[in-house]
Amino acid sequence: MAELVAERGHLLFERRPSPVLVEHRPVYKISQLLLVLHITSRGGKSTLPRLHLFNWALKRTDRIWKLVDAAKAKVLRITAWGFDPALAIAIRFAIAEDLMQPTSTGYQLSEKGRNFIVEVLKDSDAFASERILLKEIGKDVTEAMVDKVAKGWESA
Amino acid sequence: MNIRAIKLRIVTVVGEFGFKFQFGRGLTVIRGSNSSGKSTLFNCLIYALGMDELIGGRGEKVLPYAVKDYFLQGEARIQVDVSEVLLELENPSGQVITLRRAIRDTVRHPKLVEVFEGAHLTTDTVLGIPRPTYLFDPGSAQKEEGFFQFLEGFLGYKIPQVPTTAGGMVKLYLQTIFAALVVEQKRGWTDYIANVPFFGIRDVRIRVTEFLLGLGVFERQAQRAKLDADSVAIDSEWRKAYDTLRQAATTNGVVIEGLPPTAASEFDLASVQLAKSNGNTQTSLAEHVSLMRTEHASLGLKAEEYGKVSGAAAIQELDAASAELQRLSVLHERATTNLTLQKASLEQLRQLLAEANEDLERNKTALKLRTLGAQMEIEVATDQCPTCHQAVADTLLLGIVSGPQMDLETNIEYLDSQRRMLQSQINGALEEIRQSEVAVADVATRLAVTHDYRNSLRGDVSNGASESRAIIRRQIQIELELSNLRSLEAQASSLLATLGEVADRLAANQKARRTLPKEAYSSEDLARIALFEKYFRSNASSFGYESADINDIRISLDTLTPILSELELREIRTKVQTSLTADSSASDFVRLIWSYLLALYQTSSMRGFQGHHPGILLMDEPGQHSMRSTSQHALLQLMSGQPGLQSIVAASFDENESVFLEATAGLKFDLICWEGKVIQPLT
Repeated sequence: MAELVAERGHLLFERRPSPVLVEHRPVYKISQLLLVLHITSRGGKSTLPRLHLFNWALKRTDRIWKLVDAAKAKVLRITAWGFDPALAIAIRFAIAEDLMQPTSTGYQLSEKGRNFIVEVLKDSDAFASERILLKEIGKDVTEAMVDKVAKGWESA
Repeated sequence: MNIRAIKLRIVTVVGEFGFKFQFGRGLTVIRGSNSSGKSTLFNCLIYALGMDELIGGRGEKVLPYAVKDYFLQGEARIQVDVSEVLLELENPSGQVITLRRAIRDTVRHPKLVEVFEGAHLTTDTVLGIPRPTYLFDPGSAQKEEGFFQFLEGFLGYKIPQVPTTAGGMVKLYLQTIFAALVVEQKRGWTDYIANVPFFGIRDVRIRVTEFLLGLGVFERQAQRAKLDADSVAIDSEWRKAYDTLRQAATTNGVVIEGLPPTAASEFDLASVQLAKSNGNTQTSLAEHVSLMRTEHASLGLKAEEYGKVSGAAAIQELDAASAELQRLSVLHERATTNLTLQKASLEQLRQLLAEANEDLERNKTALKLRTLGAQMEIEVATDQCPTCHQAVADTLLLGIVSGPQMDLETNIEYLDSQRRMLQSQINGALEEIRQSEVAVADVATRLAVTHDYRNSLRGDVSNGASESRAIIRRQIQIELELSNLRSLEAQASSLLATLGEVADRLAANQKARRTLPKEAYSSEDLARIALFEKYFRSNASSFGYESADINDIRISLDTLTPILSELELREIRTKVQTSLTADSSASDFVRLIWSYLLALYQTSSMRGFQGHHPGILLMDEPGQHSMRSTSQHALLQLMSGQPGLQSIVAASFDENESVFLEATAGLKFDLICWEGKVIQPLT
């Protein structure tokens, strides 16, 4: 190393691009968000904590299985979940793209958003595993179930 | 091929009806007004050739009712009892046959085509004994009694196998080739080669064009398929020999070094080593054998001296054996631990591979989403901010992560290379585990042997026998192992010789593969396509094509169809060209179809080119979309001027005498026309 420096007089470092988690690609995260609104939310509407719950659950298979169980038992046995800043940014993008709209209680899928996600789902390879599990959950993880857990946070 | 004559025969209670016409060797014009039965004649011709699928069906249902149910004769309505169509054909070597196919018959099925030797229609040769052939049944293109098999032979064709969309291979059916020779009126003028019957052939239009132009692709494809079959055989032979050798080596506790599990062309026999392993160190088989021999000899000496040896010496020997036993136990322990660790790391690698695969899938999904999003005008999909329309990076956490980030394609490549690396690591780990397993098993056997030896020694010491059972036992074990190893060596050398041969064959296969051209078309093929392009352009210009500048039209090497600035030329509806009315573009497309089909023949019949065009071209009503009569004239002129081309054109010429005269002015042709309906009493 020392010889190399002596010979060349200097060393030049070139920074190579680093890989990005696919979750942090805007279009991917937005589509995932739309998928949650489309498949597991009544009327394409959801509150923010509930969106965060699904976002957190979609990061790992064991978590999403917990939601599948919750949907069957009608009780949510998860005491807390993570709030991801990436999701917040993705929501802002999605609203600006007119893929969803803010409502008084949360967010709602727009007409354009619905068209887009329907188009995405036509390709059976897109979100293949997520799609199956989310369909199994259906609309059975309700706002009330999420609310009940969230209330517990305030009292603590 | 030449179509010499056709005859339709309808038997009714009031006598025989039908028609009989002869065709010229050059251009024949069938002139008939719209309801006179021109298309009846044309479709009967197609039906007699067994090409019903070109008019959209199978069997007599493609034909009009007049030839199978009833027809009008003046005011009278006449019932058809029996009807059939006969066709006289001549092939390039001058053989003349007559085909007969029933349309309505109580006995003969429309699937049956009877083939008679000789010219029955033009020279009244008596119909001899027919050779029955069949249509449409599975195998009509493959089996001896199939009609298409017969026709293929009659035309002197050797039709190539082509890939299907399902991934298999199938014969390029004769019907698909005829789609480029026969254009019927209803849907025939919608594409360059329209009405190709569906047989699941991939890119069938391209294959037909390649075949007619006589391009060398099929030959090369066959060569490639043969090489592929060869390399499959090579691979399986290699595996077989490899597995046998490994199995034999494993039972003897021997490790094979330097032998790849899959076939390799650059394989050096000398680099393959058979060795004994104890988990840490390896001894070559030869060394191992010589060690065993030495031990055997020293045991022999010991046995001789046994009677004279004192008890102390025997105990010393027993101690030595115990020490050896301990050493082997430690080795065994280590080797087993090592194996467990290797297995654990293999498991870990597999886990990582699964994760990498999943990540890769997700990234591919993201890429699709980007494409789809861009199509649906979602701006972040094109790295633009939806609010301020400035560039944004393709990551949500730009402020948090510093430094440059990979774009999606690079990311996918990166993950893919990771996946490949993990895969090769797994392969390496598997090989290591195999070796370790052999070592563990071998140490275990040696442990058992030493254990036996020590027990026998103990027995010797306690009963003070005059002959040592331990020594004899050990000697027998050594002899047995030596003989096993000898037979392993013999087997190994013969198997290695086989592997060497297989490697040579693989090298030859790879060399042959390298000599095949990489591009789909060879330079000779390209020359043909260039000529085809030249003919096409010149035809189009003589037919008065004017929707685009003819010099800008190319023949695409991807589709072999005409393209204009990378777009396939179809019906162009340009608004700017004020000189053209809307439907002249449609007629211009028909001009392109004429040019295309004619250029196929012109190129194929070029001397020294040996294309496969059979030299017939049948067109029903080529003057579509109120085609100018000068264009029709140009078409007929070109057709009649082609040496060796028999063309049959059925047209109504707008039911106008002057159009007919204009279109045929100064041309040499045979005319078929009739008064009233085409079905008339046969005399």
